[in-house]
Amino acid sequence: MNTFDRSLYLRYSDALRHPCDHSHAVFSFFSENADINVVHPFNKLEGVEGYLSNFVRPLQEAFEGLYRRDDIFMSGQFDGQKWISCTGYYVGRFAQDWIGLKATGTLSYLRYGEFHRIEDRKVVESYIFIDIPEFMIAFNQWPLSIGPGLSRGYTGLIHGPASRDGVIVNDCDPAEGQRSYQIVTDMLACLATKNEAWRPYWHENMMWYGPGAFGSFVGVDEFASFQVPFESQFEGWSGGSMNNGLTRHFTRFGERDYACSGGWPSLTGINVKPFLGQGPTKERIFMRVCDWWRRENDLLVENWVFVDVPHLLLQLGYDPLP
Amino acid sequence: MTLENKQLYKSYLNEFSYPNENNYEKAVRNFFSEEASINVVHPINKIEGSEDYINTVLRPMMKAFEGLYRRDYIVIGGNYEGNDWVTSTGYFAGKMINDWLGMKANNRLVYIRVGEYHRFVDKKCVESYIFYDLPELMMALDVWPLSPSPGYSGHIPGPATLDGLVYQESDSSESNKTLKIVEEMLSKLNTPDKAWYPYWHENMLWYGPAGFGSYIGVKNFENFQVPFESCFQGWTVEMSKNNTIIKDFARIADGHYATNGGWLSVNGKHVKRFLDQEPTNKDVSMRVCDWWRREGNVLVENWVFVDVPDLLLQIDYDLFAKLK
Repeated sequence: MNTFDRSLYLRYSDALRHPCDHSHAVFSFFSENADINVVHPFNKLEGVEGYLSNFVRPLQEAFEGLYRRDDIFMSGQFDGQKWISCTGYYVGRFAQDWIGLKATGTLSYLRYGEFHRIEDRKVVESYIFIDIPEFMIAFNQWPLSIGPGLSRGYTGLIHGPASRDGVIVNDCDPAEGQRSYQIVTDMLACLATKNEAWRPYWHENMMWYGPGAFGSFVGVDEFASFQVPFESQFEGWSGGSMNNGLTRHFTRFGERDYACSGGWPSLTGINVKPFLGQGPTKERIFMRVCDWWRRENDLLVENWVFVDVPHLLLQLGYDPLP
Repeated sequence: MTLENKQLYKSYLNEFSYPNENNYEKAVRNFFSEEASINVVHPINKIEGSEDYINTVLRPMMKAFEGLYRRDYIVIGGNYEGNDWVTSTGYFAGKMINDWLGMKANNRLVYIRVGEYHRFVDKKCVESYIFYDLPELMMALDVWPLSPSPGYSGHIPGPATLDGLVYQESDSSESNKTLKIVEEMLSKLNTPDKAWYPYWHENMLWYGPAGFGSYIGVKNFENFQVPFESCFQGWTVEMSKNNTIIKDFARIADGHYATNGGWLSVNGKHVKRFLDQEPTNKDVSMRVCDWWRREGNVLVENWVFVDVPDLLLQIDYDLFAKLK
């Protein structure tokens, strides 16, 4: 990853740090025919125009003073392709209804997580997650009161890294990034094992910042109280790093003490127990998922997660959006 | 001095990480002088010395919150009227497993917003003011008995620029510039022509204490601030014109950041309904502190604490007796 690729995003991010018409920055960042995928109800958008007219402009109309603030930005390579990723919050005053949600007139936060593949100094392929359920929960517009685990945990605004160093603007030692990548890849291979073999990869007091509809948890025991029931709701629970023949990460890379991954879809399994009050349907589902991790030495201490929960619920025959 | 004190504080904060059996106690005894005067928001109030701080404040907190650790997002320091201060703000995080200060444990991850000021003499802290946003926690636990905030209430993020941990030395001309803007802005609060407007970025963020709410944009901030001022006749802060009653303990700047704290600060007579309380015509003073971040010539972010439970007590409402 050369520094030019980093600056491509940093310019984009800088431009959106204060209110402005986002379209100029969007045109400079994406290639005209970029393949842009945004969580349900947006899904596949056609090129920069599709992204602007379906996602960016309606967002700008709904949120007064809209701007973005990144908590993590990193870059790397996967299968010979160049990727960048970022996560943070859109901030603005929710002044007009948006995707059927009722405006509140108050300050509001919308969490984003984005992955962009770069070719010839432009973004050509993107996966963009926004946590719509988290947003709905904040305004009492989310219809479900339960999570997949023993409790829904904390719901509310999610912190960036405790170390406040997640925006990586300078080149760093590739060996550190490789180490982050390897720890995460090894840990992922141990998920959904009978003996919870993933435990040793985590700091005992780790933070798992889940999607709004699942909740956030502190400590491995509390995380297990979410993760183990969640896995049991989907038989053959398997993710995009597992060579399962069904799903595959579109990217997974490490930089410095951070790693990230995403799959569109990633997790898959057969819905054998009720999930968020739906099913079981006994049918195979696919989840759009992405993650960022921060490690301290050899242990993972923080993990930010998105799941396109509305897209998943639709597969179970339930539409949570108005 | 400031640089050295900031480093002492950094080491102190590091001892509030996990696992924390008793290492924080040692850090407290090291950091504070034995007789330090430590002031904590209501219902804790006055603490005499480091042992009392451990026994009365920290041990009960460690017991109530499993895996408790700190994550501060602003640390700055400076000299105010010959005194050396270091301040910070951010959050405690942990799983609430036991009741605390009358609030029922919910057995989930919770956050406690914290702001602290420490005055140093000979490398020891001798005087402290410690703010917790307890109403914010009450709302998260769903035990807050009053109406919700009119604005956003919930978790408050740190600086959008992620550069609030100012452990290095700042350019003094930048610090002076920040301080000047903040002092001028403060002197123009509660003026009929809203002369404080030009000191703010149009899309500024005002992170208010829970109960007051948070607001984006100077107009929305005004929609909170002006009615707030009108609830307290003669609304005064130290920088107000003709003020003779309010004296802050510190007002400093460090690079693009500044802070101000008063114990007591904002003063006025309670003449209109506020926080569901009918006017009492009582003269009140509030424990208040602020941090600001400047970009160019304007203030863009402002983190605020008010000891709301103490304010409510002054107007005859005992919040802790009324928890849901």
